[in-house]
Amino acid sequence: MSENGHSIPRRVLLAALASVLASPVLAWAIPSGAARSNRIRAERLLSDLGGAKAIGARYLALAPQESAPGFLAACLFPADGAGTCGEADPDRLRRALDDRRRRDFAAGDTVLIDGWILARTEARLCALTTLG
Amino acid sequence: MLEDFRQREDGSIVETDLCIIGAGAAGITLARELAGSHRDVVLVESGGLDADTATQALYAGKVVGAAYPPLDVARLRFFGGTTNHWDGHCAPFDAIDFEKRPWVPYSGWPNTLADLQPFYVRAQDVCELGPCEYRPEKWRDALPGLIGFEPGRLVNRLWQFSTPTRFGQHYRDALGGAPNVHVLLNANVVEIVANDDATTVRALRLSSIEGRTGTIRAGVFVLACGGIENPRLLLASNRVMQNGLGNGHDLVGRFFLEHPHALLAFALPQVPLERHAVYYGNFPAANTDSRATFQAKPGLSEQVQRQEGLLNCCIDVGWGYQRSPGYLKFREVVKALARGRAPDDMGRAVLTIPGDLGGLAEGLYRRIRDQNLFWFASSPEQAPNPDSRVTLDMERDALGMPRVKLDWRLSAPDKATARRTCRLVGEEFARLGLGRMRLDDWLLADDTTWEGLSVRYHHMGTTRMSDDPQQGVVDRHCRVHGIDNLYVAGSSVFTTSGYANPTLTIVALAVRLADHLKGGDVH
Repeated sequence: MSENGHSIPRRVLLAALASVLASPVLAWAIPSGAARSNRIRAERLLSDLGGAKAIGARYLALAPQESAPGFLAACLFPADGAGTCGEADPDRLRRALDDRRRRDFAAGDTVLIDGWILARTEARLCALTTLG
Repeated sequence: MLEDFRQREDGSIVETDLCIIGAGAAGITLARELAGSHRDVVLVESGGLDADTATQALYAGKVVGAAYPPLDVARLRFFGGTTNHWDGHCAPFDAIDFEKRPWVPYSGWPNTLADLQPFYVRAQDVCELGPCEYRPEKWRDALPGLIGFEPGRLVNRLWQFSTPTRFGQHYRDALGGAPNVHVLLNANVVEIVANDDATTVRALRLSSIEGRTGTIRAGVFVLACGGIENPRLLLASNRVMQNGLGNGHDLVGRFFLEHPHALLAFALPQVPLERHAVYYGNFPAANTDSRATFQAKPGLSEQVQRQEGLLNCCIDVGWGYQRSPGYLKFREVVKALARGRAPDDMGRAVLTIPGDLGGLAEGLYRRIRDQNLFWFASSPEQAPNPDSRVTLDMERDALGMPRVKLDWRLSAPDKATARRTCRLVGEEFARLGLGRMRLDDWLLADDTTWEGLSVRYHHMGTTRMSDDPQQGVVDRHCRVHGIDNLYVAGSSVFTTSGYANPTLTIVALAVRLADHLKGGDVH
């Protein structure tokens, strides 16, 4: 269980996991441009961006077919698909993602990143921060 | 009556109706149940009332398979047997454990849980437990902190804790005072003597370590020496049948089962750890007058076992700062020094601590910061495997008996079951906001290796039960196939191991066998 050179350092992962969907909602004005705005939206849902990016990169290495911001955004923000998100209610979005995260765990739709069990929604959210 | 065999004349003969070999949980339960019946009973025990080195050394043997503790440490050879170091964990088997499961080769007992249920009720008293009620929903008010797992994935399994009952101490007076029970101590059975076609046992040959010999003749014999010694005695009694008694189909000693145990994962807690103390053991039932104490464990649901072709499994949940070997050994050394004495195994400490400085540092850091973790260990059922076996070695003990050779094998389904169950627990902990789990690296490898493997001293399966003589050594009544007056008691008759600690089932089967032997359909 010790950290090694091939693993994401535990403290980074822990901080990132703790931050997933837990950060306070800051300014929600999203710049235009679908890919960029979705990435920024994902980033604003996470408080530890460095850890999230490390998780996201590891997830995309496991699931390279998902390396498309549009696909990830469609999975994460289905209400408005891969389009812009300026009108989305951030609290509703957070609740929706949290529900989806719990549904992932209940359904076993999870991934292992360095042995950590993540809901696919969590992993995709982290992945989105690395794209666009 | 309790008698020391060494005080008898050399060459003495004891005649009785029924002879039980071995005074452990099974043998003492049988004798206790038969006390006061119309049958004269002799309970013959290798050791005395206390442990002694020379007798204990008769248990030494060779380990050639998966790593296993020395065989003379894993069991105790004196009155009370291995209950003398029993920790008292009790749980019945699940209904599915008795089933013939198409995805588990060699599974299927000839009995069902319903057959055994009345005997589990009586076994609870023998083991000084609370009511025979293990359904979590019946204890929900008394056991706060039980987790509401997603139905169909995980279920709560309950254990009860015996005091623990030391069978030798607890039942000695009752047996000593029973007019029809004769306990013969310091008497080693060195041969089961059968008739010419090995269909009936005639006698037992006895020997003390000092060389005193004797014979017991009985109408019925019950072998109750544990999951390693039972096959040893059958295999070594090969004067008539070259392969040993009851071994016409080469099954005696095969299918050795254990409960492989290892640390599987940890989790970062998101709730106060004390909220779920019912999972850590010896938890008293609240708001009841029951004397029972409990431990809950997340277990694999029957639905998942059937859908995914898995074995049965439970996960032990614990907590602490660190569980790595360096930290645990360091803690042991510090505790010993604080009590003003040297650690038991300083040599091991010297080797272990420097080899795990990272684990030690992390443990100390967590301790200083008071950051506990959840820890998860396994208690999976093992897949029955004919190549996992006890055989006779060339080397002999002080009595001239061949020593045993243990070749314990682990199979891929054992590890796959532990991995899958642990992952489900991790998913449920995350879903419920209890903690975030990381699985150990070794667990993720799809092979049969186990890191940090330890065992529970649960020796099962070596004289397995089946109505088909080609599939089992004993029948549903625990009678050895083909031998009309030889029975086997204890966990060696288990067809499969389940995840539950075996003692309660050993005792339940012994109570059932006693009823059978008291009936009119035996010799």
